[in-house]
Amino acid sequence: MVRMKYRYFLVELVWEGQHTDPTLNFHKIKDEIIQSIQQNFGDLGIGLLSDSFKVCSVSPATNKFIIRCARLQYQRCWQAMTLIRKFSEQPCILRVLHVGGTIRTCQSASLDHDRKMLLALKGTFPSLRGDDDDGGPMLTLADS
Amino acid sequence: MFYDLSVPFSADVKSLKKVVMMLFQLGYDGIALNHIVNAQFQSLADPATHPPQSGFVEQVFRDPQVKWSAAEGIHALVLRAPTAARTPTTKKKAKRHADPEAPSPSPSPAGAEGAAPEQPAQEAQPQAELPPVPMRTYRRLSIHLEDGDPTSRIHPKDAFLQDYDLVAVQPHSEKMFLLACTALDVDLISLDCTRTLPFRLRVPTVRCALGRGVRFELQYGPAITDAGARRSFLATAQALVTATGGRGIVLSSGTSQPMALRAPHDLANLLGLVGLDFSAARQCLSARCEEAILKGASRHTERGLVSAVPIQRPLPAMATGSAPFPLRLAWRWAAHEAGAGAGAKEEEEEEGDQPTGGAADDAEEARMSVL
Repeated sequence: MVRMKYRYFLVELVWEGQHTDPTLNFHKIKDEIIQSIQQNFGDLGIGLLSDSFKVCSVSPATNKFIIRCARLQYQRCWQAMTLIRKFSEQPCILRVLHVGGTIRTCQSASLDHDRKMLLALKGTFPSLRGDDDDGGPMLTLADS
Repeated sequence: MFYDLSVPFSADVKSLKKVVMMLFQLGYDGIALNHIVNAQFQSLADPATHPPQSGFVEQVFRDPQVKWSAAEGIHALVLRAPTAARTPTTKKKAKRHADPEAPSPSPSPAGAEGAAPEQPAQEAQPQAELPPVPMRTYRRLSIHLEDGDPTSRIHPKDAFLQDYDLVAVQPHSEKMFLLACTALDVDLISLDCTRTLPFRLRVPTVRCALGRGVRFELQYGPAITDAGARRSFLATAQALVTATGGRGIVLSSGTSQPMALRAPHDLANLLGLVGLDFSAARQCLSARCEEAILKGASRHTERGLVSAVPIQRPLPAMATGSAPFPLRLAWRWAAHEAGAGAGAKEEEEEEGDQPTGGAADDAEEARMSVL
């Protein structure tokens, strides 16, 4: 049997304001993306993608997850994710950070992204050395 | 470098800030604030002012509570809590704050705290050394042309148009489309993607426009939010790709809702639906936008002649992972120069003059000499 070829996506969830979803799990992600494929590409899309589609790992803390789909249909899967507007009834943007042929490239891309984000934030706050002597909360992108 | 050339201008700084912050977070490096008018140059948006004031960009970007960081190749945005929440609560913290050597928060409520690590603490003048505006900002005009509208004012010498870096036209009839492609001196021809196009995109007309350096623009914002608009967007995009052969297309958002925006690579993949391959589609958000901006700059020159000088050494701040082009254009911002005038508009040099200003920013060292 020849090897099955897949594409792995590292996807980030960009929420509106300060919303986070600590209950993010495999089922929610799969349901949402499959629903988007159904809405945009219909039964054809479901038929082509549902077999190979799989949520590989989820990180609610960093709002990132890794999914897998068949290599032949990866563009369709990506397009369906781009067209998603809500996630669990909350306005959301799905942003693909990395597309790779193996799950390992996505995992290292995820680590790389987190590292760069920390460095970027650290550069923004010179006093960020573990003790935040300003005493106030450091928020993520929030409604002003 | 990714650009969004259609951010609808809104006098409401707060809502515009949300859109701009989302664009920054998604990875865009340049935006054009879009002022929408009819053929008589009356604003179609409400409320609106003409033109966007020079301090407007500063209002959007230079909020001391928002830290923009474009380091490490990714964009990070952090919102600090207001100053009242950050007063030291313990004696030890108060003592640390009183230490003159340590970088201390400014006493004024709007104090910008140590915006960059290499800058010294500015106790006396907290606003003196603000970080540079993190995104390139351009001013754009969109003129909606209905059938029979006069177009005599759309020429490079018109005073109204001189305030804008980019001039776009949105034709609503076949005659206006033909005029825009063949005669009008504009930078972008914007196609309405929210409903069926009232005219056909004829290949000779489109090719004529491309030959003149005019780019065609598609706006994806309504397609994300509205199902009907999604159909029209795909139909128009497909017709445009067929007529242009994939060249000369610019993709922009055209929406004021932050959650209708999408990251550039996602959009590049989305255009695969209409037959553009990924690298060509990605250029719709980067290289084609730069070309449109360049055409806009040429409108400010005497005879529309522009020459670009190849850069001497690689630009570290522009590392986005793509291979450096042999010819790269960068813009010097007026905001960098000491005592410059309007906000973030790029400067053109008069013929024979050397670049002025001491702000020899390494990232912006390519010069565009304008004849």
